[in-house]
Amino acid sequence: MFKQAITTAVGAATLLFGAALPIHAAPEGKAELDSIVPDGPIDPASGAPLDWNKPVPDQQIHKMLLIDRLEYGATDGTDNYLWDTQGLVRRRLEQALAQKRG
Amino acid sequence: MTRHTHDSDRRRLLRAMGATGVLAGFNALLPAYARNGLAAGAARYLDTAAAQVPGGAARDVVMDVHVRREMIDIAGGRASAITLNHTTPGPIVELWEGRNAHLRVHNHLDESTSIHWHGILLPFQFDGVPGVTFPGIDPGATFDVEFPVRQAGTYWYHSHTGIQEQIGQTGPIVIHPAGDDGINADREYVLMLNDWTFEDPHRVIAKLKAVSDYYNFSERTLGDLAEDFRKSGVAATLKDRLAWGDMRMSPRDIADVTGYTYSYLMNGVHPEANWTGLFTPGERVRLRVINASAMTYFNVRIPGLAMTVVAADGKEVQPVETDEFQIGVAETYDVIVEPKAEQAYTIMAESMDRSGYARGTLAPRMGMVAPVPALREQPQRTMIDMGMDMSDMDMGDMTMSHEPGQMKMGHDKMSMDHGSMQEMGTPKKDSGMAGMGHDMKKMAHGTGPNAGTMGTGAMMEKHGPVIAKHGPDMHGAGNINVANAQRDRLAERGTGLEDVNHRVLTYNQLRNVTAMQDRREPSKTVEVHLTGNMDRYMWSFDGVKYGNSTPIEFPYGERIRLVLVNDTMMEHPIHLHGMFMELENGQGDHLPFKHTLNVLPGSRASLLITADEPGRWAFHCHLLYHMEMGMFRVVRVSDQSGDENV
Repeated sequence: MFKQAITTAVGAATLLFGAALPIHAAPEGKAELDSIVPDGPIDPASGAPLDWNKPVPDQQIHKMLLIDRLEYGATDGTDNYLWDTQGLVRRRLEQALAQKRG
Repeated sequence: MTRHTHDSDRRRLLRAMGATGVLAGFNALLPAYARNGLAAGAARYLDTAAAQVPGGAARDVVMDVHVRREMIDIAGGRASAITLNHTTPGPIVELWEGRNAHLRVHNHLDESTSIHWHGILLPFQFDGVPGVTFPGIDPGATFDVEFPVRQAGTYWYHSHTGIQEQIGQTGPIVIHPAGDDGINADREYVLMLNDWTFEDPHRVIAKLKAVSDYYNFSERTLGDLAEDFRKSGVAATLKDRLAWGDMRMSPRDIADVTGYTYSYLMNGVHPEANWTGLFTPGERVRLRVINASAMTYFNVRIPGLAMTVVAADGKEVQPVETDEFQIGVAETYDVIVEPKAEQAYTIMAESMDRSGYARGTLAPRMGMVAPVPALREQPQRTMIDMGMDMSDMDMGDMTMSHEPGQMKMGHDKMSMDHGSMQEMGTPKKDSGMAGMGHDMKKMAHGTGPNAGTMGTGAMMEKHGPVIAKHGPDMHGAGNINVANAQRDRLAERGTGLEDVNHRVLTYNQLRNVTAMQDRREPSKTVEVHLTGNMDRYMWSFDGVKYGNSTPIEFPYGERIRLVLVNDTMMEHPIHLHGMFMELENGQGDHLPFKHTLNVLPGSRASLLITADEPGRWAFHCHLLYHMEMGMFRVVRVSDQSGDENV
């Protein structure tokens, strides 16, 4: 949370004052070579400052819960239940799939 | 899952017509749900006037782009979309080569946003990829983009943040040349193609992740199985099904997301509402076609009108007359049409999987319409798409059916280099089909639209030659298949257009109007494999998703050869930011420039790049959900690596 707040603040300051992350544009409309590798820690995948958000959420955890059927019935004093559920938590290769019927 | 009733479809059509002015003058008669609450005449899309390129004297441009979240009428329904200056697609950003652009992006959303200027040469810090080139535009903030315009042509802009592109944040860019380009059109229109869903795109991704063919309602069924049993026998059919199953694919996996959830829009207009561009008979009309969709390839044609392709991805090419072209996601084509008759022409943009279409009309007057062609039969994947070398397969182990899609073969004689098919008895990896001497061109031809599907002689003639074999690297657990036989498929028609009986544009027809500037031999070759697992909806480069990758290094100033090998069984539109790629398509020293290349399954394509644009540039599949799943890298053009800072 704190890290996110810092990132937001830095970003806002950059956009408002244009000072924190100066843009080095050469006269012909290209970036300066010394602006490619930023000072300080960088993200190994992007080469951008480490505290920036990731460009794609490929580390996201995907979840799914499907309750397909849930029934209750009482016959002659007997409780009857019928259910069919599936759940999935997947982060790329790591996944767990649970399926339960009764 | 929402199923549309006839009644709700009727209501959506009414809304679409109301929103697009078809019912202009009758607004008061519309029910409340069909009114958008805007002032009369305010369109939320690119109407005829807004889609026409104004032109005029060259000038520096200062333009404000306001990004908002609004409830709008779209695609015959009402939804919360992201608009740009109140419309989706956004307004034309019109620039002039040799002049300056100052674009101010104002974020009125309650979340971060961005705008990527697709195909535009500019300092990387303005390229608009959050997390790579800048931190993003925070809510309430404004991002100023200033650059000298160094190019001409048709481009587009879109969000590079999350799934915002899917919900409306796209718009066209037109850059006029500094001098006369010789194209001389009497009038010009942009044609933005989009796919729109009323579902939350996050939910679409979740569904694909859980069930990758969730939106595919054309998969083979039990009925097809019974039919195949009857025609080809049980054993042959089961072998065929097992081969596809082992690849976690189906021959009917053409599009991940289909017309089941998508409405296909032209300039933001539903096909029933019929976007119309006006012309005077005898005029030369330039259509700047932009595929701004998230996940959809289109096949574009105008029945009754020949199209002359004059530019691809913004860059001029020598004119090629054609009747149809396939446009991958994020590509652009400029075509000239010259309607002579006082009649209407349908602009048909059929989704590649034939599950729907975008449609518009060129007409001398508003209200005129032309017949809309019926959707054609859905194409099917082939063994060529699997990356199989079938040129000299042992026919003694195959039986061919004359029925569409029914080639049965003894897979124990195939070398597919497929992780889960090792048991099939490949003599050794990468052995291809050595020793399987038999000419498939002698095989009987099938009939019908899918006759080429599984390996008729006609199919072999249509497919490009095998130019390389896959190495031993299977790209890890994130990849399910490799293209053992890598073909040059640049001369091939796009999927589904193999058998149409008119002219179809192919990549090898594209020839640059100017000779190659950088004739140095490449000092470095970078080979990138497009990999994935459709069943688990995992997409990557070289089997490595973005989060685990490192930048691809292009040493500044050097000439690079980029080789793309598609190991998957789907097309991928691969986009490099910041630099143009020269496609090695056999056009000598007039290789065409591309910013996005549609790489056919089982193919190997080579591109030349002069790494003269310093920066951290995104490089990714432009199928939005593939990118989101990790088919994304950063290309770093620099004279240093920055490794010491990691």
